[in-house]
Amino acid sequence: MRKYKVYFCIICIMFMISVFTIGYCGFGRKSVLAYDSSHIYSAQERLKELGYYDGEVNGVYDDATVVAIKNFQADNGIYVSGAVGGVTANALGIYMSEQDSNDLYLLAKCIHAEARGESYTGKVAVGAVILNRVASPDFPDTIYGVIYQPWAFTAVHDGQINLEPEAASYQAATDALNGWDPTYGCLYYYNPVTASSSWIFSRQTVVTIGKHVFAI
Amino acid sequence: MGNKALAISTAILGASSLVFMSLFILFCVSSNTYKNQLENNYNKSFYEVVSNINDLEVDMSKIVATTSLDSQRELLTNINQTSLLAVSNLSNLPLNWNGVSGLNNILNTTSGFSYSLLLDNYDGNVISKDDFSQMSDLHTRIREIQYDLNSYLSGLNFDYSILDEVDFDDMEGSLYSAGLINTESSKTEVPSLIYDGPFSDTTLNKEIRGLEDREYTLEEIEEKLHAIFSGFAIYYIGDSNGKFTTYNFDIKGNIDLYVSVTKKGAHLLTITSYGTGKGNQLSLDEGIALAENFAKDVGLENMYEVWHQHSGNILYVNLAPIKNKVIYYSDLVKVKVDLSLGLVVGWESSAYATNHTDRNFTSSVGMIDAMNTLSPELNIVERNYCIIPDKFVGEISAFEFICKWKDYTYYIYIDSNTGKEVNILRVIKTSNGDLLE
Repeated sequence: MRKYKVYFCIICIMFMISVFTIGYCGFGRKSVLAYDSSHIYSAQERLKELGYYDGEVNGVYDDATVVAIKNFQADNGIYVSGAVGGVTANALGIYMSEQDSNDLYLLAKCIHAEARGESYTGKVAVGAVILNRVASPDFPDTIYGVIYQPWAFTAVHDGQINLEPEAASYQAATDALNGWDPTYGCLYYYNPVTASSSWIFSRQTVVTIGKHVFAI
Repeated sequence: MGNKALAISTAILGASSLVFMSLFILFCVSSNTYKNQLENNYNKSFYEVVSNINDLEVDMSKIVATTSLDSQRELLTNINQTSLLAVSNLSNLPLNWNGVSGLNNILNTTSGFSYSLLLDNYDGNVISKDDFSQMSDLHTRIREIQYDLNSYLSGLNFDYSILDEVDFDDMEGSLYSAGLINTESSKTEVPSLIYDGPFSDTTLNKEIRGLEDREYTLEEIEEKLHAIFSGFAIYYIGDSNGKFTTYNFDIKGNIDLYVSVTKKGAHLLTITSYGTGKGNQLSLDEGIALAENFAKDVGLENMYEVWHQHSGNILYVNLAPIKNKVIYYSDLVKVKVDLSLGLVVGWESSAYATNHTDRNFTSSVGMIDAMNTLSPELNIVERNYCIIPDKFVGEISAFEFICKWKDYTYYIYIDSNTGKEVNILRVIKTSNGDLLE
């Protein structure tokens, strides 16, 4: 009887350790590939002009959009799939090169992750710092190069960059890409309450916006 | 609990534990695979950086040894592309971003300098004595970096692991960063180069020419803002001391605005605000007219719409001064209009403040001659005289041709003094409005 209790206790402990370990480590996030709404938006706009679609132009890949695409494909001798591939896009006269949209999305994600508690101006300022780094010789010369530079942004380092950006972050990213820079050329920003690097305090402060100090 | 019940419970728990332990072992194996993949990718990037620097050193030393235009062109192309590749590979490594800035700077400067020499080469010019001397300074720095990187590489053990040397939770304590970056070469200044091109001092530190010299007081500027934003409450919130020195304000009415005005010249520099409205009260034409009138209200004359981009209720209008039929693109002001509120909610005029002075369109080539150099495939729909920003010499006078081919629209710029094509932009349609790329 006593022997059974010892076995029982040992197995219970092993069970708990296994559950906690697996629960803690998890098995990773599952990536979901979203159907890019900007392409659908352009397709809906063009299909409407051509009289194939009479719904709302909203970038949503819904049943009405699929039917419109299929009808267009059937009329134009394109393989009928209901999806917008290169041949359908070319026949519709829409562009599948969306480099600027990719930059916008990534910038919006970084702004959302780094400054979602900040004012709108604080969001634009974070976007402007990223673009100022792209223009500086001290940093990589692409938006993704700057954003994914190791340890450059806390929210990239800890994975918060993978949160879906809100509308204000999109608009702030658009403003920054259009040239808005409330920091006037700053390359750095930090929260003086939480910053741990002594080096960052040595930089010349240009302006404080919300909780962030912007510096050159 | 009886013996039987205890035995059954133990058996169930035992079986469950076996399942979970198996999953745990699976997780450990898969985690090790991830770790190996990451280690391999880091090693690949590291070896590529070293290889890029070795190639750069060779090509830069060859440049000094050749006077042939074709050989110089080939070598400059290699130097430009290899230095860009090195920056890209460097950014893949788990290196302290601050510590790596010196290496980035020397590589980006090498890329910018070689690019400007390459454009000279296309004009038929071999590298001048002064530029050779500057290239030689850069080569010395690259050779120092090459020595440090190769010494670091040869000193590594066969079982060296980048991941083991990186403390991902402590950027400053990362041994890998310290070992690779704290080298003699990384602590030497990048040579100061005199050239017009990407990353040069002239392009990074552009002189501000468009502001009046007089410095205005806070009271004078507040008075000016009350005239522009009548009915709004204006709160001074502080200064900016960067490229522009400004007074900053929160302006509150039916929308909250963040506004900056330069101390010198009392120039309305920026308005930043989030356009939140839904449904459009204004048409696009009314929005454009609102932007043009707002420019007039803040004291900028002859500003007309040259481009607009529309997405949802937000309209971005680019205004440029147009005088004597010349469009001054260098002095662009960007205005953001919320069509649902019928208000200007954004204003960005740093280009105007930097560049706007009286200057003239100059030309040694006729517009018809310039037009004849365009591709015969193009259908020209509009032509203009303009002054455009240039990354090499600040700005140039140019002819603008708006052309069509298939469904595409192009903006083509030809230097009105040299007759050379200096820029081609294509309109791309996106869900965020029409853009130029």
